Amino acid sequence: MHPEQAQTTDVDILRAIAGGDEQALSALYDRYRLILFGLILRILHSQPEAEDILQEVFLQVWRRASDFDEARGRPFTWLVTLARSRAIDRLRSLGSRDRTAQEAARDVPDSISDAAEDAVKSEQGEIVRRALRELPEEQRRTLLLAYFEGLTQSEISERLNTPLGTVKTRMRSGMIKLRELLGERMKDLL
Amino acid sequence: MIAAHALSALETVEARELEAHLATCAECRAESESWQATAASLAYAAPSVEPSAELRSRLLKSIHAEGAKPLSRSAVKDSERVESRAVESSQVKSNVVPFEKSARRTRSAGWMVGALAASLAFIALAVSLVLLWNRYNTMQQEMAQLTDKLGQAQGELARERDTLAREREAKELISAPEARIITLAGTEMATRARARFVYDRKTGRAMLMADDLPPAPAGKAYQLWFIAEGKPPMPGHVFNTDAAGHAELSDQLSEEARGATVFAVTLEPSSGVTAPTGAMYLKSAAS
Repeated sequence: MHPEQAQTTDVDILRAIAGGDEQALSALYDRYRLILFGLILRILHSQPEAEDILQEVFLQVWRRASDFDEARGRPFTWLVTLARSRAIDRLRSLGSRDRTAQEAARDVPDSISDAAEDAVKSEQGEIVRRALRELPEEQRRTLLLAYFEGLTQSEISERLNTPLGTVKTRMRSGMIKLRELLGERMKDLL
Repeated sequence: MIAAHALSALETVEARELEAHLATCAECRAESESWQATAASLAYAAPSVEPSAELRSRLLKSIHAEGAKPLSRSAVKDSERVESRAVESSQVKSNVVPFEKSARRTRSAGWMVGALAASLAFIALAVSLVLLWNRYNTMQQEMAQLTDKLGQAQGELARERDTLAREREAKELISAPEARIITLAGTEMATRARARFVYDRKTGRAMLMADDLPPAPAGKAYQLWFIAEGKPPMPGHVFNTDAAGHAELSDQLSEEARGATVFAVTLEPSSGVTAPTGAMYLKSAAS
């Protein structure tokens, strides 16, 4: 299920996909569907929309695998970034139509999901959630609003009724702290 | 700032500036990539969820349908092609998915659909505007015609009312106890012309109804005169005929004029004169 358990590396899989190997694509899908679908669903709060985006993401991987440059980062980062970008695109294009649903879902946007609620538990998830819990509340909130709701710094400043400078500081401090906390451990995992 | 960019939390302008810098600075690019990895770990803050099993087979079916050449550009839809090109040009083959662009600028299929919808809406709007404009013009013409017709109808109505009023006036005049009816005959200037002059000796109200008077030349008009014995002619109103040579005129006679014995019509300057200067066209027999 997870990259460290796989015999074939993600980079190998992407190369095979770039070569037109359909099996490789299904292998990549099996490897990352849970984390990616969880991410997209958390952003969109809608099962059909999230499935639509997940399919788009893998179609894009299929078409653009040869664009991936391993010198520039891990496949995981690439995939997650792609999925989040697509999901936030959709979130914005849905705009006000689903605002009510989004507002309703917003009551818990900055909560960190409890491991017990996870459909699938994962070691990486545990590490990240533990790290996030160690962040000061307002830093965590800032990071999660940006990440899962696609808000810019000034939008967060408006949403939280907090000065823009404060939001910038919190975001920066939060990111630095998170990187420290994840540190060496994540390097092995991602 | 680079950390915030990894969260795509910068404003569009800032993000654009930063991207321009990243394109030229390998050191910052490396830093940006490291922040992207940190940001990506946040995906784990969301609970993993199993998508439906159908999605997997649907996906595999669609990639199979696209063929074994995933990068064959011809197999890629237009929207995707635009997207790939934009990604390539802005990123110079990088794994960094440009959030700012994809999220806030323009590029996804969703956007294309939106743009297409907007274009269609714009075209529809333009067409409706043209149609409305034409309709507006047509309606304006119709309005103008209707206004014309209304004007004509009002004119006719006014003339009818005028005629009625004159008829009533004439009737009242003729039936007044002290009414006098005088016949005027055409002179050698207009042998066929004839007129009737009615006036109430008590009130001085008077009417002239003339027929077969030749239309007065430009700048000229007919004028009525009241002539009492041993006195200079007293001027009455100035009038003109219609195209058929018919004329009707109301007047108010002074007490002096009511004693007139001769009534005449001469051709005078259209503003009227105080003493006759022109030829006589109508004249009553002395009574």
